[in-house]
Amino acid sequence: MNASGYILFHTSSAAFRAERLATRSGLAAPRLVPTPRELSSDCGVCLRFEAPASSPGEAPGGPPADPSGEAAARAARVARDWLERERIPYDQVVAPG
Amino acid sequence: MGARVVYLDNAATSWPKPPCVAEAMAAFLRDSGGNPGRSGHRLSVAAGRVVAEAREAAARALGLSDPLRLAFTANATAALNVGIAGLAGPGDRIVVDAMAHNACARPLSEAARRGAEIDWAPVDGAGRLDLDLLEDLVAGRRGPGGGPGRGARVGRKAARLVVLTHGSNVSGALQDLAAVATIAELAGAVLLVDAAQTAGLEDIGLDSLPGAVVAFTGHKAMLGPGGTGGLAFGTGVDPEACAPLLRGGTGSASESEEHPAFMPDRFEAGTLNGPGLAGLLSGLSWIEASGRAELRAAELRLTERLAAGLRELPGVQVLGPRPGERRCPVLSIRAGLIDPASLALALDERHGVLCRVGLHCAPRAHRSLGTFPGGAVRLSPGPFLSDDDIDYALGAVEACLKEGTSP
Repeated sequence: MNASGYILFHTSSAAFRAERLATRSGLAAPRLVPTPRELSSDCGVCLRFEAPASSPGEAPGGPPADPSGEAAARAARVARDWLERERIPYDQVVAPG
Repeated sequence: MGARVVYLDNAATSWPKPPCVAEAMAAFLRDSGGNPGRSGHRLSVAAGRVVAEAREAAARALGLSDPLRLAFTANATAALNVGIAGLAGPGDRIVVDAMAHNACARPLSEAARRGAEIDWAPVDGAGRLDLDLLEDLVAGRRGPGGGPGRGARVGRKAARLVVLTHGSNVSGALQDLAAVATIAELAGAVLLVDAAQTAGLEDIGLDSLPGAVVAFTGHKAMLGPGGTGGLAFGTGVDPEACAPLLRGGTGSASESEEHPAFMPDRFEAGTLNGPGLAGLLSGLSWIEASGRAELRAAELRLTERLAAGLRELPGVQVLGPRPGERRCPVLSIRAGLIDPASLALALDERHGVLCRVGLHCAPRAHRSLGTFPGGAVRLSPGPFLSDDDIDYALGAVEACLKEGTSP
């Protein structure tokens, strides 16, 4: 079972730039989605990505669970490193969980 | 009058556009009709993607690797207004070349009313800058005019801003952008480039000009529609130090009633011209597929062919660089005492040759070239013309001169 992380941007222009470069991000299943209301009052979009959930996986054969949150932290780090590398300004990376 | 039309007014706006441009604009209105950057639904996202692609294509055309340093505006005029008002203020000295279009000259007049000091850098009879004079003027070692004994004011402060007409819309003179950028950099000045005639066709190389800010339009050499353009910042110029002229909705930082400082929203208040940017993207994609260098070479060859043919006509004076000199595909002519307006009308009505007459919104340039206030007839080839079109236009000019231009 997966959990979603989010990259929030100050401007949708940066979000679209991120989407266009996401194939080389190393993130799992990156996708542009409306920004969840609990994360921001903005009316724009953000980049969602996936990492194994910290709760035990239920589906047999699914990705391994991440009880320590290690995979989520790693995915967030991958996201931040990639954004810096591409010089894409961002607001924050919300780790999956 | 025959049915043939030879359009030689590409310096005003390029025509025809590649067929894909109109198709892309129609497709945007039909398929991606949401507001780019304002919502998260599929039509808004589709529109946002088109704008993002257009931003990347425009940045590539300017040689800028970070597209987020480029903000779209309605045209080059809007971008130049932002740059002139935002990059210098009261008490600052601004140096501008004497080929400037009114898109620079009028905002500079306003800057002068607000307390800026404007110095005009002289050009020669073809519109080319004297770089030694420019360097002294920018550094504050010499006053405007440049001659011996002029401007010997010691200790004048260096210019804060240099405004450069990259390619003249009257003579086609093309200035040495890298050299002017170095002059500005040595004096600690920002270089604001009016690239209206050149962006899309010439190599701007903005990544290698960190102290430059480039104002461009989408509807000339970029082959997009009217209503598109922008302002692009070199890596050494902080966009946040340049105040915007418009403030408003950006789809970002919506909780705040203060306009955002970050790019590109800082200069993109209000809904962008989505259909126009779709067309601009299509025009730029067509240029990339055709080869920018190949297109430039072809247009310059046509321009030289036109200039050479015109020089052979008795009484015709060709304004602009000499054969083989650095230029863009624009030239103007005077034909003795013949009124430029009557010549242009005869070319249009009798031969279908379309050109632009008058002062070309650049009175200073015409003063520099010695053609003020009478103006001149401007001919500016584009990417869809052939040698035969140029020869036809030359024949038309010759015929008008022989027959006279009276109605």
